[in-house]
Amino acid sequence: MKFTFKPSPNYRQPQSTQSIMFELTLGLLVVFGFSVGYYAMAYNISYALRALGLLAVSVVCALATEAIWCKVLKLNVKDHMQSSFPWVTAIILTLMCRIDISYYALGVSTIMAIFFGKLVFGGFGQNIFNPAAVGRSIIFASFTGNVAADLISSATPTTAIAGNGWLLAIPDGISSVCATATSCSAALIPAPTFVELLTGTYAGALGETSTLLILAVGAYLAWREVIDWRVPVTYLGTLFVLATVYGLVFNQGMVYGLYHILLGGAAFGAVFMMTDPVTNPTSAAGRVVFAMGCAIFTLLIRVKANLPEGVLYSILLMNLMTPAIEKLMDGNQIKTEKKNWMIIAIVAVVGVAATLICAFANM
Amino acid sequence: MNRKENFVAGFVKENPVFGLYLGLCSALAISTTLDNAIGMGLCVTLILTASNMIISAIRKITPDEIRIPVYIVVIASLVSVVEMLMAAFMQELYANLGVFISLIVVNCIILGRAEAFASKNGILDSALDGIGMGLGYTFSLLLIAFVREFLATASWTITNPFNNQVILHLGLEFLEPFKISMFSTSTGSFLTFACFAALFTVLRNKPAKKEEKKEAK
Repeated sequence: MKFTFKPSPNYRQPQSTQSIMFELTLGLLVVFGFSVGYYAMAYNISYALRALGLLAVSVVCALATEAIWCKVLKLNVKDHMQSSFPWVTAIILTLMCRIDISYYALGVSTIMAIFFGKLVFGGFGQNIFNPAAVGRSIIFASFTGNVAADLISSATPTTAIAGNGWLLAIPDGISSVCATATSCSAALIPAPTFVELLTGTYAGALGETSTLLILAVGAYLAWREVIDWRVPVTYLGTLFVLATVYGLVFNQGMVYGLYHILLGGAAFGAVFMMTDPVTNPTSAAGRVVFAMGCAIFTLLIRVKANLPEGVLYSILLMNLMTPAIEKLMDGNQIKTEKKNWMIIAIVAVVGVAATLICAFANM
Repeated sequence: MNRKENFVAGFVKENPVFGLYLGLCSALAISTTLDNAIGMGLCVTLILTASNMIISAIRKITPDEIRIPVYIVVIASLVSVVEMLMAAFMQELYANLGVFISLIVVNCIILGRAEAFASKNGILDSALDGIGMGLGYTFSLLLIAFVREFLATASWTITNPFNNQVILHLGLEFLEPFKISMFSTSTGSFLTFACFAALFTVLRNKPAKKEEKKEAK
């Protein structure tokens, strides 16, 4: 009889956490490089330098925070950095900001994101919330006015459509949509064309605009098994379906759902933030439910809340739910398959129902 | 424990806010400015001392079965008196503190000290305990407010609550563009509170650790 000896699967896996995070960093830098190139071409070189400066400030702040943390706790700085990856948080946070954010605001929010979002929970692998999302929400809460003026004066397409209550055109006889919106124009928004939205050649957050590139990087990372393909696919699919349902109620046409995917941080959040293995459920079915929940919250926040964007807070809300999902869908996945499908179906029904209630309430 | 230890315990060792986590609701809500912190802290100190003394005085004639309602009646009467006085003489502070003055009735520190200390000790001890705990509470509020007011407005202001005259204004104008407005909201108060609570836990555990080390040797 022949025995074969092999180490257990988690040791046999060729990928280490280090190599995964390295490839993720490369993917993020590709998106950032495109953004720098776009600002250099469309405006001038000083914009590109400013983007690079923002990234440098954020990364330096993140590294410094972790280094001080190590000094206080008397840890080896080099060992800690190799298993903590503060730069990933810094890069994601920078990519979520607009180019007109001040260096100070980005630096402070990076420090807070690393410290309050990650280190106090016990460092990489222990955090409940996505640290970059924590940092972005701190900017939302504190520094919305703290921007370098005269960089981008016009509203971005995302804020423009948010000002219209996330509708392309307000149908006749519906005015209550505008109740929460800041500036309502009954006319069609001069929205960017689909090509512009896909390639990302318009003003917006640094890394959230070029949907096509983000999806390409996401596909590569999914093929390399750095991220789980289920999360972005489920998220974008659910968001598209729900937005189409919402759009049909307001007679916006079938392409309306695409705007929800292309505008704002939907693609970026789906590829780079929801796939964060630390704040995600571990089982495949749990991740599907997680992504669906994110999509539902994104749509509800976009059309109902007085915020320009919903992706960020939807991620934070579902991070909060992750332990519950984990508890609900834990166990032998083959045995609980039927139950998992039931849960997914229930979440889907709840999502569609909530969207319809929202739509008719907004009428 | 002698009287002095009892009095000092309220500051670090048994600090009601950072050590016992009592009275957090008001501490988190009103610690936006130093003015509010001083007003609220002294209010609580006054009520706590008075209620401790009264409850200690009647501790022998209070039936055990209905002691909680008795305490509540005593505390609520004192709070009503203080509330009306504030409405009459310190309108600005009264408006700023709002509902949290009436909520002193259900402040855990006051009921907790009545139950844990005043119902078992003499009047003088209870009064000292009330003053110590109240000043500990004031001290914690001042710490939170000190950080929050500076981060949110880049200045410190202390006003006289009776005539609203500014006694002290320390503003650092060059820091004006760098203020973090989040610290005037509840998010900032939770973050500040958590940092201080961690610091106090470290301070409290330090002597214990030293003793452990000594024993190990």
